[in-house]
Amino acid sequence: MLTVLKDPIARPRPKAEDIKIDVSKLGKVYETKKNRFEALKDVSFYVQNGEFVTFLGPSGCGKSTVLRILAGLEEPSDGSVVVSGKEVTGPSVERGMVFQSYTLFPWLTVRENIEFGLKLKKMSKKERAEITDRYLKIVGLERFADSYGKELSGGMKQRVAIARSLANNPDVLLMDEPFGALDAQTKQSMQHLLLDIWKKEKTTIVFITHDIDEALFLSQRIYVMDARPGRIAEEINADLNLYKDNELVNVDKFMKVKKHIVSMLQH
Amino acid sequence: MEPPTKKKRPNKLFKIREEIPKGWYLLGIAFAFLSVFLIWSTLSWLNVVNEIFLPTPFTVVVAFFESIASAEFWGHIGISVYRVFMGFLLACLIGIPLGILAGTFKFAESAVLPLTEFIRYMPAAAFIPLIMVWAGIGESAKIMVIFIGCFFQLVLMVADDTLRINRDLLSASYTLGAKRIQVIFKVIVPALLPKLMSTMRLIMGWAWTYLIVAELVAANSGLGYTIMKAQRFLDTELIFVGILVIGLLGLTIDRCFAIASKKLFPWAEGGNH
Repeated sequence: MLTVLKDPIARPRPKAEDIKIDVSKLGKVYETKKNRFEALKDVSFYVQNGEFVTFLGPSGCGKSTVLRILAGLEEPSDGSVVVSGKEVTGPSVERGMVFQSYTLFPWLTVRENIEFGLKLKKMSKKERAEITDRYLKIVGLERFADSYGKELSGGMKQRVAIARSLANNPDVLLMDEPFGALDAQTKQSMQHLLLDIWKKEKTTIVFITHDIDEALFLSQRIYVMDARPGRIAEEINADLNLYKDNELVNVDKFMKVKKHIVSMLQH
Repeated sequence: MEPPTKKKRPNKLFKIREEIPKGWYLLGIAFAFLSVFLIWSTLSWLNVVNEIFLPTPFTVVVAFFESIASAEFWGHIGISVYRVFMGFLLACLIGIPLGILAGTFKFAESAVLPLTEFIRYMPAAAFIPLIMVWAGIGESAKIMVIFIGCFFQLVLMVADDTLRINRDLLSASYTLGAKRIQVIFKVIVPALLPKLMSTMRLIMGWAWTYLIVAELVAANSGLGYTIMKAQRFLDTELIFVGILVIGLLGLTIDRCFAIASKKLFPWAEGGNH
């Protein structure tokens, strides 16, 4: 059942209208007078509508660069990035992003943070309140609506960041190791929460992590990346029914896939 | 088995960076103030140092109350406070926007920071003769000395505060739909405010220093002038009073900044006292 393909592009692609993100031959080079660093080379991949895709790889493999380019925060040196049929030329509300560092605006309350994007859209007060209430509830922070960031734990801050992105109703949610700084228990409950939200909201999610278990638990498909130069080493189908009700049920298959990925990353 | 030997715990008061009971803390403060007072008292009352050079605490206290009972002295305080605030305000009005620009745009940085870094090392006091040539010895001359003393430091510090704002905070606002101008006014400026407040607090201290520099050299009013005049007549107790009053004024303003900061930015993390 394990699909391991040498070239991800060789895999039969889904129909064009099902593709949300289409990236081909992406390259990124950082150049200074003395050095030339090839952060990404020939990276091609796609993400389907409503899919949960993870980029997995060691630090320095360029996975965050891929995400920042998708967000429009960095420009590619080469190749094309198309999201929802449009070439990415800069950041946009259509591509929400959650960062590893806590990016709550500390001078705003939880509610005002979630409203930030809606206010920029000049949405009416009533509409704003409705959407904000809904997402406060989804991430379970109704009681903290009027708290400031400094009163919240790390997990709560990331919940606000997720709610803030989703409130904008983005086409795609980009997540850059959002749970990387959390303790094990919090991380797990955040993963459960994220999966619930994904199932409910049907948002397309691109998720970055270096944690194999996290990638296998969350995603449908995994792109394993390798460094120097940053590139996609392998595409892995992770939609393997390994879990039931958030519990690992297919331990054998899980171990097999995990071992394979570990060997990929060690090589 | 032997019972574990009871080892004495090391003294709590001298643990590195550890909290101590509040009472002990207050005791430390009282001890420091009392020691200074005691040394001063012994030296002056036992006439170890001639009273002309070191007045007794009693004479200073008497002189202090005599001074603050006179309208003339309040006039000096008033004019000094006026000069400090004008120089400081002028430095803030021009320096803060310039600092924010320099911390936001590389182009502004290139135009502002290297030049400022250079001028910063020219001592403000050395400008006084030049300022007197340009602006005479009127009010504007003193305000200018304070301005020069504060402005260049302020620009550099504000630019640095602005640069320290977490980059991801700006990135996040872009992905939430903010345009450049909105990033500046809705993210950079509010994120900067608490740091700005403490920077201004620091610069206010500098303003007082330069005020006295300006008044010692060329003035016929103000607290610096009273100190100068007292020196001429060897009224050492009045020098003490002048220094004391400047200290008290500085402390009051500093406390005001601290309280305002706490009230205005309840969301700011730590370091707000």
